[in-house]
Amino acid sequence: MDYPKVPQEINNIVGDNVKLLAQLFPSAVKDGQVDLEALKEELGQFEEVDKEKYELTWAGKQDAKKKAQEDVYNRTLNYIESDSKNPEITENLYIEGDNLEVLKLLRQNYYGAIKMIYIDPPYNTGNDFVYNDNFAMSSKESDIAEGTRDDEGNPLQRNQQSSNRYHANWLNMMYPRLKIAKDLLKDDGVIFISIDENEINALKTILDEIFGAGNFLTTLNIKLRHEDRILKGDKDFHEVVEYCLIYKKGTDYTQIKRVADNTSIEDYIYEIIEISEPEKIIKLGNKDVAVFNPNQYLANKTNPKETSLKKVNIRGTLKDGNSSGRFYMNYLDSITDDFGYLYKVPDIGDDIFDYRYFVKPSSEKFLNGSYFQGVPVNRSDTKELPYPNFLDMVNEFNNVGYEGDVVFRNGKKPISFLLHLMKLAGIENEKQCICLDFFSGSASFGEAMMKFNQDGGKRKFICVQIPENLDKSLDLADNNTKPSISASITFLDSIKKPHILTEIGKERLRRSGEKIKQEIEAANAMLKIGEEPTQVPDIGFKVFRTADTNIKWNLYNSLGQLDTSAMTHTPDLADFTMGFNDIDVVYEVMLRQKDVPLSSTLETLTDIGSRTYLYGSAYLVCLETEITEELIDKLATLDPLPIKFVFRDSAFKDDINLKDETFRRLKNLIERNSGLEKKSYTVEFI
Amino acid sequence: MMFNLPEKYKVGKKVPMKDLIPKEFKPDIKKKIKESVKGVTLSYQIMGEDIPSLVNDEYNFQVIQFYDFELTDIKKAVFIANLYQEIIKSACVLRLHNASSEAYSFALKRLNQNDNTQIVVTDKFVTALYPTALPNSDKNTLLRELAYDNIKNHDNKGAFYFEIFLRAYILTNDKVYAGAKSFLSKPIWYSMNKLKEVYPLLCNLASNKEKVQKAVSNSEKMKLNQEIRQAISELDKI
Repeated sequence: MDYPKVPQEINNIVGDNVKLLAQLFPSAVKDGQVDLEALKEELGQFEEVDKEKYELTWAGKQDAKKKAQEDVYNRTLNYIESDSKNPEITENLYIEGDNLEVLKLLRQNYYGAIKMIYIDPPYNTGNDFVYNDNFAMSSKESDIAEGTRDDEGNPLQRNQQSSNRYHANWLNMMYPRLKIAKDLLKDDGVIFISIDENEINALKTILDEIFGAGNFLTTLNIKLRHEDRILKGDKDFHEVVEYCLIYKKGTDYTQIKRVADNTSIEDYIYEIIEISEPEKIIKLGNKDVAVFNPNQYLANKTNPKETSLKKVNIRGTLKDGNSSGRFYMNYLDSITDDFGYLYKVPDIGDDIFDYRYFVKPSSEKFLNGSYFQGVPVNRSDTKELPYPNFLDMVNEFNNVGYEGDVVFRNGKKPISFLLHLMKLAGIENEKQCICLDFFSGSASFGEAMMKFNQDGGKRKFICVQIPENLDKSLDLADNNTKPSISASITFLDSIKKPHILTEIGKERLRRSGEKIKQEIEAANAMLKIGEEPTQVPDIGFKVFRTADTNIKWNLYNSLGQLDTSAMTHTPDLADFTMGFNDIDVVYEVMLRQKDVPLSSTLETLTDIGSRTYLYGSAYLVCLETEITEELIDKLATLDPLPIKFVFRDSAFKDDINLKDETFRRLKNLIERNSGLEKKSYTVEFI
Repeated sequence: MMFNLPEKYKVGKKVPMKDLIPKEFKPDIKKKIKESVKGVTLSYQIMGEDIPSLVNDEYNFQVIQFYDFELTDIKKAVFIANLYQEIIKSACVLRLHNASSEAYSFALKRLNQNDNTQIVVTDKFVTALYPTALPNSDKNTLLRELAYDNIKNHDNKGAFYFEIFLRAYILTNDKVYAGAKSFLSKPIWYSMNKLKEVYPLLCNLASNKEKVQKAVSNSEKMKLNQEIRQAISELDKI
């Protein structure tokens, strides 16, 4: 139940007028905005129709489109080693930050690389927090200054049903995120979006626009509540289902089928007894067909067995879907006055019989004929069927509170549900893919991925979650959600973690990973001789957090000149921002490399220099303040040869000759060492 | 003299051109052979049981042959070498030369599992070109390394040929791995298992380094570099 607040304002003349207008002409007021064209239409004044098109539009749509396209300046991801688990070997990522910003930061690295995206966004139930997106062009501080975040820099805002742009706010949040999500998907990738009836229509319409209506796969209807167990009797309807919209990126997607048992013979329950000789033999389609009138045969029911027959009604697609259907439609359907007649047609069908019986309807009340088929000779034991778009998960949703070993009652999704979606995405056969959840909440998706990988898979997850301040959320929450937030805060106190939502996600991943490991090790200890032990999947994760840039991207001063003095005397101050560290600089450089995953290894090449780093055995980032001949000689011996060398511009002190000489030397040495004449590496500077 | 082979293995028999060109070859291939090859001599042949033969379901090493191909155009060396390694069923070394340059061809062969009268060439390569008459240190190294007295493993003709093959492979691909040449003097040659460890790693390294050059995406290059690194660290341990 909502408790409308006393409005802050005394007069809202415009608002009142709009309400009056809406009572008279509902179509002229959309989401609190007056649609003048629609009002004119109500008054019979139709505009030219050249602008009419099928689309959903709302206040701010243009901005939302622009937002998806804006670059994210001066922001980066800092690596948080202390929060990470097994960082040296893991390829999973947990990223703390606003997901639009994170999606943009990851866009270079993961463009067209994600096989599956699952998101469980706010459903816009009237009390959700939606993201305030005015961060893209400036840092957090300036947002606060501009008043787009609150004084603690919290970018969330509560979207209440009473607000004028209730739907628009939500759509403005979803649109740019979905647009970038599509960029990240592989061509055969799939996206799953959980939603309830509040916004399903609007969501589907924008998904149709972003992904293309032709790429819509289905709406999963998920039963999550029992019909009769209801606490709020004052509702018009009890919502027992919610939905999951599924879209593919494009035509490369392969349809996933489930395998069903095909051994049952329970439908084979008929036998035909020919009581007397047929009434006549006629020629149909070059076959000698025996015709029995209704008194010359019996169609008896019997126990299911291999030699019995199944009665198949010839209707719908079956009329031309197989040879029996076609024979009936071509030769028997047009014969009249033969109600209940049986036709015995030789050489048709793939069963043990060398004939097939067809039977005409018993009276003119019935339209369709039938045929009797035996068990197919080459029938396989299994058959492929499409997955249904209905899931009964009442029990799973009832028990979800106990999953993950963390206290988070606000819309956790059951692991079994996510495992099912992973199956639908077809990742059973893709053991190396990358999957993403950018509204990851308590990180159920990460746990599900670890569980899915118990089949020996090396699939990687990326979980993104805004570090929501739970104390702040508690202040703003309504009475229904306060208890769940309080419970999470108490839980975080018990494990001595700050009251931030992402702490719950990380803790869940740590705990569930350990649990999976213990379970596998316990099972391996019980193995019998000859049984293969199960490998413990990747249960680690690297943590990154959005932050302001570490790099001073522009080395020129206000006069357009390089500050060579600073370069020489305080090079770190000239190149990097206060409080930077080398590792974060390297990752910031890596965020600008196309299709390079952030989960690769980063090592310090101590035999070359204390500030020379090698990322993923392929990117050499040299942050040394001085480039010596000895250093270049060592770099040239690296095997394998890095595909890119990154140096600091300041290390060359604006000396173009030194640069020329250095890179000529590097090139010559590499040619000599590798025997390669074609230059296979690039050099960049920061 | 080829690889200081003992006199007893000397044959020095010219192969008539009509025996050289199988009838079933297509006319354009026949024409190309006739244009490219001036003459062929079977110069040496290791036979007898001083080095025992290796004959089983997989291999048939009863002889190791050394052929001398005189070419009109040294640019055709790789084409001719690859063609004749498939035609000559026994293990062989082909020296292909014209007046100014020469190259050597080696190939590993096993029996066809469906028809053991046929062979399957599993690996083959041709060395770099060396000057025929002028002194050349790379050529000298090759001849020295492949000299009969320098081949350590005389267990059987299969092991003997594999050693020749691998020594030549290392010298031809010495840029692939900085420590490649060091294997020539390491005590690995008596152990067939060690050699079977080294060779695939070197091959893998060579092929991945080639793939890096052709790879388009950074993630692909990065993955290959990681595999190269892995192979290098395994080779370093041998």
